[in-house]
Amino acid sequence: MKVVSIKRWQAILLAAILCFVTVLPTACTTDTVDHTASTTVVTTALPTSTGMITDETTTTLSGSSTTAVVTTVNVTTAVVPTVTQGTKPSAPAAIPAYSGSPYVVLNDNIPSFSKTELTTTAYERYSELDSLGRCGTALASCGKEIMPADGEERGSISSIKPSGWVQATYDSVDGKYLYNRSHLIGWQLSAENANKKNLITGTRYMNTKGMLPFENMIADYIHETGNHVAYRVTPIYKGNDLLPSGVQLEAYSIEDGGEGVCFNVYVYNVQPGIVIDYATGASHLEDSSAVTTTAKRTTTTIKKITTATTKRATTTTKDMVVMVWIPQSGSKYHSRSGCSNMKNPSQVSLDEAVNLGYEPCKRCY
Amino acid sequence: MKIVLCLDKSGGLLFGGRRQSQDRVLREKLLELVGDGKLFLNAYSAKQFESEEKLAVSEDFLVLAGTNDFCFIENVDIPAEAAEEWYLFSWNRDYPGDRYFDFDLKENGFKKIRTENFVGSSHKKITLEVYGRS
Repeated sequence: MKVVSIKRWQAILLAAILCFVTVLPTACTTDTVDHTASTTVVTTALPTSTGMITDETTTTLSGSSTTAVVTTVNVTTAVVPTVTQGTKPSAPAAIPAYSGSPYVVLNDNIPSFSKTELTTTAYERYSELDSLGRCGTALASCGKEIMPADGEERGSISSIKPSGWVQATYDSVDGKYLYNRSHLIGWQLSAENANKKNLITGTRYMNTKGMLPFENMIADYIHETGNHVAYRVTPIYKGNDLLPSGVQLEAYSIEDGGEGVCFNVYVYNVQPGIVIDYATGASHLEDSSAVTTTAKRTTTTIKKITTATTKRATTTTKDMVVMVWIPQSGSKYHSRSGCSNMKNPSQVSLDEAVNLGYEPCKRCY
Repeated sequence: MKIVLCLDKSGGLLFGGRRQSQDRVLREKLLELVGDGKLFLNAYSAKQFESEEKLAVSEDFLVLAGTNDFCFIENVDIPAEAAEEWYLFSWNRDYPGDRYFDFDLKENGFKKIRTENFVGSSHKKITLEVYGRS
């Protein structure tokens, strides 16, 4: 028994040393990090995670405890992430079906990063779009170097149409619009605006209830500590779907060995009350016919244009795009470029104008 | 005892066994509240403070603290029945959470005494709400 006991002790010690040797060299660079080091933005062909969902059995989700008294939690410090060779992201083994929580924990919240990814030199890497125009994995070492400067304002991202972008509006959705152009690496972490390799079609719910809280956690941690956080976002598609069914978020605070930030979660790209066709991005209300409200609105508008004046009608068939004029400043879209004394108006599709928040002009529409 | 908690918009305290956020100015504010006394807390919470001068650090801090002592609770059970006052700091932010505080203060005989907003070192607006016995 004594011999066995010693061997077990030695094995534990050896495992600990291996973990230490594997991860610490990166963490040990903390004291010599130059936080003003140049930012690296690299575009690489990172592997995507197509077809990673292997099981959709319903299980009890974590993250839903609302007891009055907080249960005791064993705090884990200096958690060692699963360190992989190369840059292949970890694959979520089994993701339960959505059952009310915006996200679910994967692998006990332990992320998977390679040694080279755990660096205190800030960088961003975005995958090339695949043949279907879909985003792949985005990876970054987030730090103040690549975050927005104080007072920096977000730029427009409306020119990007991510795969599966079939916008629709519903009264039940916060802000009406079903979809957001969802950053993989959030703007507050990367200051990335109209980067098509960093924007996916995400529901309002996924964007604000699922991804944003994690981005907030990382951003505030970095602002507070000046440390870096390895962060990988992997959109998960089923087959040739244009819309990801969700995104995997992995993060690990580097300088403190994951003590501040360490998570591995899957965020569902769903919108409660709305049924989504992930193959195309089309949607409809639960318990209703498969027609989007945007489609209804567009049809109505086309009919109105056609009825009012055939000269004005730029489209008469549903296959053509309705074009409208929007002003440099103002909130209405117009059928005539000369309406309301607009100066240098821009011509955009009706869909885009609606998506940008413009409403029809009462004079010309 | 006077219980101090840090909460997000949903009443969240922790995610994955870790605090949701931290702020240097909040810690300074907390020590101001304690005044000449000691802030009772465990080692996990104490680690974020630069000095232990005004801290009473113990894993049994909730047992050791007296009626008028401040207890900063992050990752252990909250002894609501022992609370005389509540000091709730709100981050005014959404964070992920898996441990929440949803003790109904009003229903349990507490009323809000005061509210104070201040700017943190990494949070634009932190709100302190103090509740005492009605």
